[in-house]
Amino acid sequence: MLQYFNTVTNRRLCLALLCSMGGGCATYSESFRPLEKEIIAQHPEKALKILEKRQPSGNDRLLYFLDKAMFLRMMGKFKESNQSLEEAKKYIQKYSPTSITEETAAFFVNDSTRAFIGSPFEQVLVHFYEALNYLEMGEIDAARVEAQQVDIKLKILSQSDQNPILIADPLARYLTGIIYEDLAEWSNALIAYRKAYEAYKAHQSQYTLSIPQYLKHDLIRLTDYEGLRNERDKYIKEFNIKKWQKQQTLKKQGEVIFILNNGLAPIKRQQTVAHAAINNQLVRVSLPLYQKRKNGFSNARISVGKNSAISTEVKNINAVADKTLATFMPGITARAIARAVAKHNVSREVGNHHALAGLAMMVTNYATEVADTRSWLTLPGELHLARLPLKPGKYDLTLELRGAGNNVLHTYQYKDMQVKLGTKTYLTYHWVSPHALRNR
Amino acid sequence: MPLVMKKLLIIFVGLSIFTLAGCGGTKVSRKDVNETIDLSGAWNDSDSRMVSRAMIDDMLDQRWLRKFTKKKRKPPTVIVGRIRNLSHEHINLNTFVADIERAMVNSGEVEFVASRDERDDIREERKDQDLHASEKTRKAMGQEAGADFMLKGTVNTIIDANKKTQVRFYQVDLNLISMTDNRKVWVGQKKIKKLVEGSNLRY
Repeated sequence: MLQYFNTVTNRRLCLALLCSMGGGCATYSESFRPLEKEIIAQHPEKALKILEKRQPSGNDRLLYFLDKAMFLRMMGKFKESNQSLEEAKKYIQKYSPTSITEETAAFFVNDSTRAFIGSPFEQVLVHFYEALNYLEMGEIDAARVEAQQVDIKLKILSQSDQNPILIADPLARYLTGIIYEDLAEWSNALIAYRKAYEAYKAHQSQYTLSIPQYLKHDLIRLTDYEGLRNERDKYIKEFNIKKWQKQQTLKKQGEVIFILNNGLAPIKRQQTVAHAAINNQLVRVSLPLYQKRKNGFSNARISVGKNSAISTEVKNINAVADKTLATFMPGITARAIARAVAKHNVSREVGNHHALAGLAMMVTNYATEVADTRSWLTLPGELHLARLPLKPGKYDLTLELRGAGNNVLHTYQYKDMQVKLGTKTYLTYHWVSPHALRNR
Repeated sequence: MPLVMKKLLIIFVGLSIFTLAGCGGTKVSRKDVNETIDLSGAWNDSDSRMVSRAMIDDMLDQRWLRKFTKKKRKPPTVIVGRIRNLSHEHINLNTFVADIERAMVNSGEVEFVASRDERDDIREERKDQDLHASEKTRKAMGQEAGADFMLKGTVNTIIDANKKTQVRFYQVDLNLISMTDNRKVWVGQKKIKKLVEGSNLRY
């Protein structure tokens, strides 16, 4: 066998090639850094410009649509944001079937050669954000369409072989309940609240997320209104709630629904778990791992005069993303090892016949062995929700974002917010801590 | 060439052919507007056209119309109210409403008044005429025709999905309501059922 890696010339050549390639191809998450800086500086329009210069390309096109939609909604361009989310939906539908060519390429190159269609929780969030956009535009019937699509999406996902905890999406269910309630479809709202409650219970057992206080009150209020006394009393006992607002009282008011997108979702980084010279050839196995962002946020408070509401955490994307990756990790690892073995065997065989071709192949194999670090990075790390019933009228609402010890981190004013009788007014805010670039 | 290199070459050439197969310029061909082309299984122009035609034919064929015309000695005046989309798709109901209006106006059996949004535009124009148009051509306020009936409705769907296969059931309900006493003089319903089968594999 030609010991091409052992010869001094070839070793130098190999090292030079590897250095010139920066130790391998750049991962997707590394390319996100300039965008991330603009988000933290509260300049979504600048982040959008950077993104648009890149144009949607190859197998990462879904991420372009998703990030574009998030930047547009941060800029208050809800209609345009939804156009991008619709593109994302079409892409997911088109690329969901398994591709023969991509799977072959993934076996020989790396997992990033496959079209990115998002994890189950990311796919459901497409509908969630489209619904939120419609709600902020005051288009409740269009938001209801999204509520229906969430139901179908979760139904289809539940028929797959995936871990049920990855499919349960309590916040999506909760939002659909709020939408139905806004449309005075009480029984549909109650069904959605019940499903949200079941999903939160499942999440509670896996993550540090409790059933939101607001949902507990909604369940009691609506079961009471629908005359389901046994169920109402069961919730009262289980949640130990003595004082709650009756539906008849709420109907005489309007309500502000506030949703905070807090921070940024965890970012996938590449870790090289095996890095060795076997039979005089360099072999590398790279796997993705999630890295959380620094935050320091505790809760949000919305207030007007003496009326105020404190937010409660309704979704922890950090935890869900971690769990999702952990579930898929055995498959990712098995593919990475199989690929390393295949690449090693091929380049060794080629090297046996042609030293330089073998060396080139080894360097290429080494450099292209990168982890798939693609994920929807403009998502928040957590979502918080607050419900504030108010008499109909025009209000200037104050938003306070608070850290440990209720220390105010950031404030924002919503001017001339119209609250109408018997309906809901939706407000959202995306806040990213200036320390988000530092690791937690 | 060694066997392994031949195999590699075959794989890479194969991959390139598959990738290139997807390339090519945009191809456009003209189609008849009445031709039914189903691409994704979603509500499309054909559904809108077929449902509106069938429902309006049914509406104009009913007793309420003959009764009204006999009693009032004039065709009824109808306005299209809110048609709500309660389905799982973002259906463009504007084309559906336009199809209904066209079918009704062209039938000659009913008269039609402009919708709320359209009326605002016309009133604005009338105000403008009051200031700028000559007395001969100026149109007076307070001469609008009030509607006798309002057409309201909903589009609903029921979806049964099993992985890549879906049965989509669309139901369009239209009600014609008397503006005088809120009586429903006609209730129409049209159903469409579609089987949409997706693929598990792609190139």
